[in-house]
Amino acid sequence: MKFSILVNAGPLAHHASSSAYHFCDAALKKGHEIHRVFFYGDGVYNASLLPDATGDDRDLASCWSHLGTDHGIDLAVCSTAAARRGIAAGHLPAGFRMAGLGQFVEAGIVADRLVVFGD
Amino acid sequence: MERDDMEAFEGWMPDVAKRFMIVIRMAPRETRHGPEYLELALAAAAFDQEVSVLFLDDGVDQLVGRQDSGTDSLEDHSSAYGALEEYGVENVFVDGESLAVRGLGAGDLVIPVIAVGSDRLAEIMSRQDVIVGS
Repeated sequence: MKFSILVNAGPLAHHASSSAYHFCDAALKKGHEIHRVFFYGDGVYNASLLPDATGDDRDLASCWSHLGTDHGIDLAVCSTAAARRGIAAGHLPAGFRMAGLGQFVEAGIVADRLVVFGD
Repeated sequence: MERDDMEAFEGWMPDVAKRFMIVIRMAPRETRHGPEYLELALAAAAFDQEVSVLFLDDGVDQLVGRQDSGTDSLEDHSSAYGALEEYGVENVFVDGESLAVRGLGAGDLVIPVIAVGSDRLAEIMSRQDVIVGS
């Protein structure tokens, strides 16, 4: 099955982003396809380069980044939502890219299922 | 819509129309949930999809005007929802029960809405291809 993923929550707020990552990981291992992960709202904080200050949690941004670079998953960050939150195009981790809302619409059209994580 | 959103897909228009429903169920205070979900609906409409918006639970407060609690622009974006009509989104639903428990009627809201009961709502939602909500 072909999935698109919408991530609306940041890496620290609650488990939504972490759940989204594990969903993608599990889906890929089962042979499914992830068409695109679209980061929207506070979900754009997953593409922040700010290091994890505590060091005792897994760095979710790195996990996402590997998903993009190792598996070729399209990690699209809404440019408008990112601009509102001070995340600039030149400062995205590897594997992420800026995208317009049209790419969210396309993700919904192309996929068999669009799965939403976070509010 | 932001200009780059359109430019990203310049020349591209989908040849299929899916049914998108955007569900807004959070109050206008504290987060940008309402206006950002509104933008999802407008984007889908701009790409000729069949768009519905549903206001549910605290989300109905988004449509109550005159939220005169100061100058904080985060609070009152009720006027922004007029864009739905401009983008041709006619299927704007409000959960009737969410209105009733708040002592509101459809006439108290800033845009025309279709108030529906939970049975009808379940039927409408079952017909959607893509539902974005929390």
